[in-house]
Amino acid sequence: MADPSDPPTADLSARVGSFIDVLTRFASGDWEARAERDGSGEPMDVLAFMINATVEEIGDLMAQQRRQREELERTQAQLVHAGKLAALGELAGGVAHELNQPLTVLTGLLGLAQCDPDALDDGDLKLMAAATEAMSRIVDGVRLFARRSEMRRADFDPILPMRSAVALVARRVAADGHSLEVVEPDPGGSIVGDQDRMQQVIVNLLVNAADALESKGVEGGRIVVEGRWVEEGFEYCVDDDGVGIAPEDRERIFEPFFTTKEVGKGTGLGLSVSYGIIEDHGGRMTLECKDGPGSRFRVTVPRDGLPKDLDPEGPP
Amino acid sequence: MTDRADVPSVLVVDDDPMVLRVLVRVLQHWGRVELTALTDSRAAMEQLASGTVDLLISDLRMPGYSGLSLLDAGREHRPDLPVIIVTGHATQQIEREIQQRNASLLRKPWAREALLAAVEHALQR
Repeated sequence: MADPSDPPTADLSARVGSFIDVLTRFASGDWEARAERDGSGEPMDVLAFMINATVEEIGDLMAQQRRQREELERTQAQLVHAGKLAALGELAGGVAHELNQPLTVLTGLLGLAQCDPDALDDGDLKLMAAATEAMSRIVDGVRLFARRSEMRRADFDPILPMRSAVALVARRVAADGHSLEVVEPDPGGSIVGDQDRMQQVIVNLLVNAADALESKGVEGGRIVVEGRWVEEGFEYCVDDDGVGIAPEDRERIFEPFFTTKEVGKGTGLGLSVSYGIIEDHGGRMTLECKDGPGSRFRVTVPRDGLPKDLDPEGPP
Repeated sequence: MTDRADVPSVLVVDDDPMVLRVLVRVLQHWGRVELTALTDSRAAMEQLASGTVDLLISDLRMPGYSGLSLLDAGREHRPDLPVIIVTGHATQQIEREIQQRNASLLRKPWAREALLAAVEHALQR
């Protein structure tokens, strides 16, 4: 048996120790760690050479992997940017298209009035008013799109925006010959968020429901709006038995400027803006498949899902 | 009163009733054409089949048939039918297609003078 105090054996264990040291340093991130060689060509020197060749190879592979990862990250960042640009382009194209119609009404009738000041009748003036109203609706929608992050943050009873939304839409629903049923939980409890925006979302869903009943062209339709506390927070549900949404349109209804409404009626911004508002509240908005006719939208918001870094006073 | 036979018959098609009404108002006030105005491209197709249309003014994108489909159908009945395609979003491709068919392009939002100039030009051809 070899005696560890024997000089060759002691030298051998010292060399092996140094190799272990090199491999340990390399494993902990010291890519420059190399085994010392004596150039003798003896087995231990050859082993040092092989260790060095191996760590160099591994180092190269890791550097390559690092470069690829960095490149991938850059590509991903570019893709996100391109996605944002595409969305912006789509928005701009949509705005241009939507504004063109009412602008045509205004330029056409203005041209008529310039050539003959007495040419415009009441119907023309009403048309001009409708055109400017359509344009401000589009501009409002875009503004909301741009200011999605500027939300007020406060405690509020989630029943309140539902009630005020119902108050805004009830007259129209009744005038159209339909019923609007409201189901409320017991009062009490609050959520954190922007009450006005929440009202805007519910108004939008109710108006869509009323439009869906109107498109059906039959009186006696029914809208049910329900609010209830659920485990995740609060849930609003708007249900109608109107025309419903075609299966091929279901995936697109939350896209900006996508509308199934007749020309001049919808901006195609309502649902996409609403979707964004609910997303900002940390909640979700879904269209549910239902057995009967019509549509059912469900909005769930957590008790406190709005980012906390918002200015509590809201925008100036 | 002008002799009916001298007054060109113009078919105006746009699925947006507001825009259609303005086209009609401006052309009516001009008074040199007889108008048929339709929001439904399918009904327009039938009207073109009657062969009585002297000028077609049509929106490009509509449910049912596009302005270009109406153009093609109208030319089947009357190969020299003058056509004005009205659109707010003419891509280069669309511009080429309109040009290849020897039709005119009127961009939305149009001015009264531009509309009337296009109509006069189309009717003189």
